[in-house]
Amino acid sequence: MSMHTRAFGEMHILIYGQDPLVPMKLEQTFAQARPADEIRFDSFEDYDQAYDFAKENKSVGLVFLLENCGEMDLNSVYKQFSKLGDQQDTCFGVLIHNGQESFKGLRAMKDNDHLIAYYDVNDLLDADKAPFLLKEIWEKYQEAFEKQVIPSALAQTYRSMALLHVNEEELSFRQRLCTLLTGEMNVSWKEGFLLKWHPVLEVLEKDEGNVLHANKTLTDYYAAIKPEAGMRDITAVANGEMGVAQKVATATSILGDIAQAQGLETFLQETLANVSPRSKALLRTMKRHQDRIVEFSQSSTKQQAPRLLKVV
Amino acid sequence: MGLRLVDFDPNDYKLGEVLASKDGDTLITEDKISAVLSLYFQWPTESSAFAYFDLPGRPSFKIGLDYDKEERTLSQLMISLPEGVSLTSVDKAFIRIDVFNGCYEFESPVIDSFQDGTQWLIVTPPTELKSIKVRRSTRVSVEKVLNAKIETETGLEEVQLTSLTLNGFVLNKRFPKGTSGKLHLGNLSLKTVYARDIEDKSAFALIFESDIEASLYFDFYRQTAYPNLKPRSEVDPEALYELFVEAGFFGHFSGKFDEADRAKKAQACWEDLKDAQHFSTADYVVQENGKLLGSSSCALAYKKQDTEYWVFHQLCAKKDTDTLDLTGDLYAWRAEYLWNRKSNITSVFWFRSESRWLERIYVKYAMQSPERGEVRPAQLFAYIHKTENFKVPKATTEKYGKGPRSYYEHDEAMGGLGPDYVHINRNMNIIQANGDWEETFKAAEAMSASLNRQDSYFRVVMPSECPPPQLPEDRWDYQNSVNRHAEIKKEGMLDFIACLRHSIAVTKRKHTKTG
Repeated sequence: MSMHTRAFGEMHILIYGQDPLVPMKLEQTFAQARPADEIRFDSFEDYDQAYDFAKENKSVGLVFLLENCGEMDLNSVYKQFSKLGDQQDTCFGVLIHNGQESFKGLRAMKDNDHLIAYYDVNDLLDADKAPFLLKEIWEKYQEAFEKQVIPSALAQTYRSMALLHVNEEELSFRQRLCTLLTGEMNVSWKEGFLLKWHPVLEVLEKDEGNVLHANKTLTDYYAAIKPEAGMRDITAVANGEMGVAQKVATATSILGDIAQAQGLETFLQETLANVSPRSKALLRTMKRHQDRIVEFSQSSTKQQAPRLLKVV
Repeated sequence: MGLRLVDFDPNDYKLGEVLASKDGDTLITEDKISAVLSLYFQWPTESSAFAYFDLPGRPSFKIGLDYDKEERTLSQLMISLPEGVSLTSVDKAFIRIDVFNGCYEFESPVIDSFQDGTQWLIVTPPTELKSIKVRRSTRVSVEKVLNAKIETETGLEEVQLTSLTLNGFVLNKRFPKGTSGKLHLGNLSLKTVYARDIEDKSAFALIFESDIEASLYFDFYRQTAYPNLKPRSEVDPEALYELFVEAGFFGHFSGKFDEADRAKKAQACWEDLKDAQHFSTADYVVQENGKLLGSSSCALAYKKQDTEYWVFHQLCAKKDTDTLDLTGDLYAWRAEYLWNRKSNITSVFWFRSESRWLERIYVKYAMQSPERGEVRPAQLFAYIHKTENFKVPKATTEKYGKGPRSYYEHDEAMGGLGPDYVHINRNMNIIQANGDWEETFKAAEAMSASLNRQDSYFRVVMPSECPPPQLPEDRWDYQNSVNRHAEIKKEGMLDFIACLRHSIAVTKRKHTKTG
């Protein structure tokens, strides 16, 4: 169950090509692999129908494009569909060949870094292979998305700037905690990406006000999961009405602050003492991983000790 | 294992062929289990769940199933019991879920329970699901009082039918095991045998002795199963023709060979075909609040050895998401109708790939049941045959309503001709060929000759890459609007309905953007 119910978030996935029946067969193979997401996949053999669909929905985030897609070149067809979305920068494409990579396909891949993969249609139509290939495509998609929103050089800068305000161990604890909770909670792929960056972004937002504002795409996305200010009660967070990702972000911030004040183990013992199967997922997850969370915090503190000594 | 009897809901395809329920596969992989559960939670209107418990009296309930949507991997399921039900000391729950046409059972330990006005039981998720061979035809509840007579060894007795299936019924009282006799239903008299008891009632199976008997029973069954479905003969032919026009039907099928007096000829043909109803054709319309919303037909097109090929054809419906379910009925009744007949039947249909909804239904079906159906690209032509006195064997001719129809059977081509307006644009004058035009001409000649015709209009279905015939353009035309050929074998027709219902649900959700 590595791809969970909200993995694809709210995006639509468009499949287009002119090989008779193949687009629908791909749609239905993907639907078999991901039944809960059948409504996200739409296939077309007619260019105008596909174009109208992308224009009307404005939420196409991934395009599967068969090489046999008419007289227009592959990049042009891809661009026609991707430009119609609300977030065209974060729409990506997958090229599909008919059993053999072609010069046309390879050239399109070289010319357009938004085309993230090139697959054999027979592999994608294989019901046994499709779930794995979809997962692989999905990982490539997320990687490409991340590079688009926070390019490598900028990522380095953000992290360095955050370390001016918090020490590495503290940041590391929060990041490990976020990763642990994100892995267990039903967050969408986009939320997962933002949660990965949440400890850094939280520091930057607090201490380097304007740095983030230059990256509007990122700040827009981050606004949706930002921790709720002033919340200190983990049980209230778990039982509250906020979104799952926001709960994870808020819980990470609360536990991070408590760990910094050296009271994490006692806090978790008291807070999680009465957690049972009827409790909310966040609390059950924390209870399940209580020892690991304490261990994260202790290993951060241990790493911190020599450094503190050095300073002394 | 487990309780398979359920309270009836006409929208559900539930457990248990009355006579032949049997356990099926066990699903043990995470992917398959999560796929089933995904579908269950994704389609609340298409699914239901029941649970029973290992307690004295084996209490069973229709339950609500829920889970914590905030966790990524399902770690537990929550069962809500009906209002007023309170269970203590329950260690284990046996749960059955129905989704579309599939039914699955599992057992799970109860790990916690609590009350918040409703009683909740928390169970661990299944590690395996047992797929139950579902009753292949829907059991529909009879809403009004439906009287019939049952004739058994003990005599003739007045009874009430409480629910119907395509090949069975449930009576309002219990009968002894082994009872057999005849069910008298209006003018129909049908062989029947006791199947099982359901609470204080008895279920019987029907044994049809002929196609016409099965079809006449279907006509009775559809009044409960498809209350909006009426025989075409009951509606005004002019209003029906107008519906075809309004629904844009002719836009897809018009061509240069259309006859100017089509409306008149089609309506006259419908009159002549009244006698063919249930013998070689079945034509129904959908009406709601007196308003005509759609029409669909199936008809015997050609034969090969012991197989009858019936075409699903001339479906027209007002395009509206609100009436999508009714449109679904226009598809579904034909599958049930043909499944119920005794003969060996394959259904055939052609459609446009631009209709993504249809393509979704048929490709979904063909992928799920490749041994029972297929969809392939096709090239359709309109062709005017002029008799050339080929030396070919004559085709066979049979009565088809008031007129004759000739049938041609050959490895390379098969077809049927007449009456012209069985399909509203003559497309039931059909030749299904493997790509060889010479064999096609022979088929056309044989059928035309057997009906003593000089000129005959045909729809010719060829493989997708087939070139047009080497004939002057006034003899042929492309039917570009249609480019798919699909077939479903009889044994797969009820699976097809499950695909259909699922596809309609997906399409509706897409259109209403609630997904």
